[in-house]
Amino acid sequence: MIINSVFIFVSIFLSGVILILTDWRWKMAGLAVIQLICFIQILQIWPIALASVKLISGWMGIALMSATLASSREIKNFKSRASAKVFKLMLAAFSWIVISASVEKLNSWLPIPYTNLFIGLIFFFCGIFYFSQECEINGIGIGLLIFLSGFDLIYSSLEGSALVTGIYGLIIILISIISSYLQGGLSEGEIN
Amino acid sequence: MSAPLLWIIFPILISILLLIFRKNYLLVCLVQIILCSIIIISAILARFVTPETTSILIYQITPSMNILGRSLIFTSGLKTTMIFSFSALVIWSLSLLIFKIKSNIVPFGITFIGLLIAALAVEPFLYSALIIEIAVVVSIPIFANATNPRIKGVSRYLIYFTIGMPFILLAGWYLAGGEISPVNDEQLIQAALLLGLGFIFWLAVFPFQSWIPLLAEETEPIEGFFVLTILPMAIAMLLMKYLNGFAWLRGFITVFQALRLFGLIMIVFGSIWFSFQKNLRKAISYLLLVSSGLVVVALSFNSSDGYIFSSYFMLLRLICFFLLSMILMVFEKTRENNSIVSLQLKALFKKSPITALVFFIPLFSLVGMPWTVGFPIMQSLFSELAIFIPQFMILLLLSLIIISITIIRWIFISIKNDDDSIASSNLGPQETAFLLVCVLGMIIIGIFPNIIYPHIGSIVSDLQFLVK
Repeated sequence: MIINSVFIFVSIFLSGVILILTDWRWKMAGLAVIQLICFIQILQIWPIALASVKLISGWMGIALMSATLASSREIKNFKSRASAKVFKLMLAAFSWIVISASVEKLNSWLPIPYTNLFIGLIFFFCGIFYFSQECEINGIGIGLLIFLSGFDLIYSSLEGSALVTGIYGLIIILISIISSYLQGGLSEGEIN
Repeated sequence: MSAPLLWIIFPILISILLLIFRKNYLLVCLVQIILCSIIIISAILARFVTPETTSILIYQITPSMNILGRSLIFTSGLKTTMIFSFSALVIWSLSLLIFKIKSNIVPFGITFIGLLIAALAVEPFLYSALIIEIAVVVSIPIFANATNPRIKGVSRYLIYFTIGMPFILLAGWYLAGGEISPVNDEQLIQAALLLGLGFIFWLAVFPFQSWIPLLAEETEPIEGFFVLTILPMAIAMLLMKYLNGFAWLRGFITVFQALRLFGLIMIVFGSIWFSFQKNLRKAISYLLLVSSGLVVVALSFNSSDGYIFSSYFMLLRLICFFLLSMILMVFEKTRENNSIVSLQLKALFKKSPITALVFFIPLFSLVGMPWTVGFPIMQSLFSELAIFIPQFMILLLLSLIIISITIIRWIFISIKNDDDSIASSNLGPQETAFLLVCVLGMIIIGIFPNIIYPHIGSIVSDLQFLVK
């Protein structure tokens, strides 16, 4: 019970922090921790072999995007103003309030562990807020991965199919590849 | 040999192999055309049951294949869809070859279509949403690359489809639960809401339509419209599979009322935006929205005719938007500036009458002018509307009138004389012949619709609970 509460608070903290980070390295680290939290939660329901597919595919995606960003000649690390950070935090706080108010009702519709639903919803909304404020493709990629991690936690608690896990892992990696491709990391100029 | 192996997995593997040889573009394009033609011919000759007529050409093939406890199952309707989709790819690839245009449709097009067919073939079909998402991600390299800085449309395309996927998956889970135990009204509303949300994102219903004009504006027309034409077709088919698969969803009247409303919103808003657009790419993308709306309205009738009309609309969309994307490509070929506006159509009829015909005939077909390929479908749609919802017919008529007036305005512009015209491009003999064949084909189908429409109708023949 205490551990579950700790995970919920860590997720809330992480979803707020990742929205205001500006350095891509910290963003990737945050995303890696999100994947780890989701893995630990899924591990409580699924066998370790199947749950690790999610962690491995998620981290592979992060590695792909990080490699592209690290090799990019021009990385835009926008310095956001304090007011923008406050706005983003308020937005995240709004989602926390909405989730806290509605999670009980949602749990009656979706019969899954309360912690998984709560954390899943937090990342789900965090992902939406994240990519809605980004205009760079790598930022959108990160947002989509957060969003998909959140949904994955909810859906994995409902259905434990090997095929879904495999396809979902493939989607995560493909989105990372596409982000890297559009970022210029896979262009011929870079390879040569 | 099994059909999914031959018509899904094998083409996808070949297309991955073709990626290695992409530098020899001409060869790869030819291989793609030949491969797709072989798939089409093999599908025409294949029978899933023991053939009644004995011939050395007709052969029997296993319709299903198991992967990780799930199956890919081909039905005769899906076989027609597959023939239809690969034929579209052949025509698109052929036009790339004739107009000497390098495009990532070669070889990503095969993977894209293969994945869409896989999404329609997978059983239980609740997993279709995941495969559609893969197809969406795979389709991005077709029209986007790192050298093109404009990725707003591509980002939205990816985002909207990714947001839609969870809703469809959750709706599928709800609906599958309803198969096992009886569902109450509350659960039914929840499932319908989730499904509705998912399809709103996927079918680009207002206000989630912004990615379509953006994508059309930012990408090459031949590439952008390829994805924009084929993908909604697969989504409409998936929607029909959901309706056919779940009795309690079919019996929920609100679903069809919502579909009708969504379709009408798409038609009305699409036609208004179309009339205000000066940029031809964006204007045609709004027409795409209108045609998607027409498909949704046809589905909302929940009658055999409605479902068959929706399959006819798919053919209409394919022919018209192929020709329109090709003609936009011809217009833009001689221009540095990619944004062709309607005013630049001046003197089109005088300088290049064939180009003008190829541009205006598909436009008139989409509004259902008599003697065009769209006329029989639109006429049937109106007669169905008159039976079910006559008040909606007025709105539909008004929308089509708005579109027609805009097209007529464009005709007046293209009749005017002007030296600075996009019509000044000189088409080669091969290109002119290709355009002529296309326009003649379209006129012939318009005059004799029975040549092709009955075959297309068989796309929905497997939906035994919808088409009786």
